[in-house]
Amino acid sequence: MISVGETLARHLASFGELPRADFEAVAALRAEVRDVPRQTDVLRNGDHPNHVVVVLSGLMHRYTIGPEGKRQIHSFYLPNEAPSLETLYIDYMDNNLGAVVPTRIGLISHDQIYRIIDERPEARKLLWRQTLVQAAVFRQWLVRNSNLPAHMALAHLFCEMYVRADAVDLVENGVCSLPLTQEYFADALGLTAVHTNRTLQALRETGAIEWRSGQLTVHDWPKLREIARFDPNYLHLRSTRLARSR
Amino acid sequence: MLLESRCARSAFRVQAWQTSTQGNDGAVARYHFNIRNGNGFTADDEGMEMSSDQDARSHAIDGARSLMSAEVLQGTLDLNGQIEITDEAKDAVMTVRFTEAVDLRPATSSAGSPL
Repeated sequence: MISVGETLARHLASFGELPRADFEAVAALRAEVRDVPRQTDVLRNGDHPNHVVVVLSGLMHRYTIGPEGKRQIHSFYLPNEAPSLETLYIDYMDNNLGAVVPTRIGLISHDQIYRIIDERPEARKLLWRQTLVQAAVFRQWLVRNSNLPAHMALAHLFCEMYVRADAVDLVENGVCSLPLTQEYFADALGLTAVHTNRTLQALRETGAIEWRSGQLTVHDWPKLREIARFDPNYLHLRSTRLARSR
Repeated sequence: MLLESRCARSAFRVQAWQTSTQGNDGAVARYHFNIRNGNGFTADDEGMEMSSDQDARSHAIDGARSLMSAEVLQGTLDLNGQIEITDEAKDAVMTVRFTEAVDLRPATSSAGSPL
């Protein structure tokens, strides 16, 4: 069983070179493990967290509730990802972080990470880089939602989740777990659930994917990429099979 | 001691987990919103929980409007579509025609004329 610290160390190492000693220092960080029920928030707008969250299993999302009560999801987080590193240096949450399905998380105190930042410049660089990549991903979500018609946008989201899952070894034989409902896709893409269902059906009919019972199967990766015009450069992944294949 | 006091005001809501969905208090039922339009039939296998037939109808109307909007952006509008709402047992609850979802104002003879 991999420790929470080691999960974070591996996550940082996916963005660049993490020297052995730094890897071990991060891997040795003390953490608490919590089980979060489905559809439950871990951090809410206005909270002042003093821990960072590492996803160990399940799936998380970040979202904002708009003035008319509509939810806009702005990111999903897979196991082995760290969704709240920016809380180290901002004073309060300006959005919500919640579990989509039953999710296990690890909590590492800010104090321990501040020590790493003070003492280890290479690890510090990767923490910076991780939060900058988050910003790049948010930019891409903005472009996706405002520039792409529904079928391209949904295909693009599938591409992103598939490449990210692959980067953390969660793709097996073209299948990855993506335990979302139509409603989550709709709120991530700014579509209605009805439009999402129609769009899913249209994507299935291309033969590129199947999505059923929370599982994404990619039958034809080049075709899915072509539909979405997906370029994974914004994920800044150091090396993954899918990110490289053009 | 410092550590303890920090933990006490930790933002992580160990005791007070709150669900992020709304409206779970009342009774809900699962409805399926099957689409029939120019693109054929799209079954809704997953469905969604709604608190009343009326809410389901509103949801279907929003859905029909969004489908038509997307069509219009592509340069077509097919008003023959409808959303067929079924319950968990796949029995028909109601049908919402696309024409019911918008206030249609047929073009008058002067429409588009320069004067």
